Amino acid sequence: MFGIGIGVLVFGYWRLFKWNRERRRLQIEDLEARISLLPLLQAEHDRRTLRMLRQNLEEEAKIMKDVPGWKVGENVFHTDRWVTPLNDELFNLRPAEELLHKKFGFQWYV
Amino acid sequence: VNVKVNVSSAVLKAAAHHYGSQCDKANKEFMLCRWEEKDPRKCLNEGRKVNECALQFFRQIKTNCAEPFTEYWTCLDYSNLSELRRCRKQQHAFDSCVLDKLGWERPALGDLSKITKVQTDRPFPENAYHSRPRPEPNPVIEGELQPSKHGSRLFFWNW
Repeated sequence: MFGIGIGVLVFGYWRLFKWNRERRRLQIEDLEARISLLPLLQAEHDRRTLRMLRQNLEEEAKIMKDVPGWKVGENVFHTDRWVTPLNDELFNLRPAEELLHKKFGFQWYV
Repeated sequence: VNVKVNVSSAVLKAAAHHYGSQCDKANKEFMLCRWEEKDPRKCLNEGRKVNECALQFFRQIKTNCAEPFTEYWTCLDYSNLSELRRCRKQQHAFDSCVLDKLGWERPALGDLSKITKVQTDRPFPENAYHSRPRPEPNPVIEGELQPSKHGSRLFFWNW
């Protein structure tokens, strides 16, 4: 009786391990799909960010035209390397819906 | 001219493995540039090449293997999580079609995650972080070092 029980248990474990290995292989496949798509998505995201920064710069030039002593697009940091802009900065002059999409859109997807 | 790659996510995932093996060169160069320079403004040219390669890739699929590909990605779209294991039949059909017409092989499991060496003409950027000049290292201590007299002299210990 014990033998049968333990036999069933061990058989169950063996099946589990096999299926887990299979799942790991499937996960590797999914991750590889992601790896191969990353450059495309990164490039598009970069272009979008730069375009939004450009538009913000032009808007800023328009808005702060008459303020004395304001350098348009002045760097807020003491360095000249690339600082990744914050989401709030980028989407400042756009409707709030776009910022929400950017922040939480992935949650809805997952 | 920058044209967006106008496809949806299921399509991308369906074609991802072949895309990874075909457009490998442009992708790796772009990623290398991005990682080394840490500045998206410096990598716009490589990004453009990536985009062109992707467009070329999808154009080739459309002209040659449109039918099996459409079936494959509609099948993937149907499942909730775009699981690849639900669509093995269509994947097989698509793979054989692509192999016959274009000679592309699907990379084996684990091939896309291998570490590769990338060859570029771009020189390695010095000081990608734009850091200020580092201070001089400490000069070499000359003379014999003796254990200190009267012990360690830390607080009250004198041994």
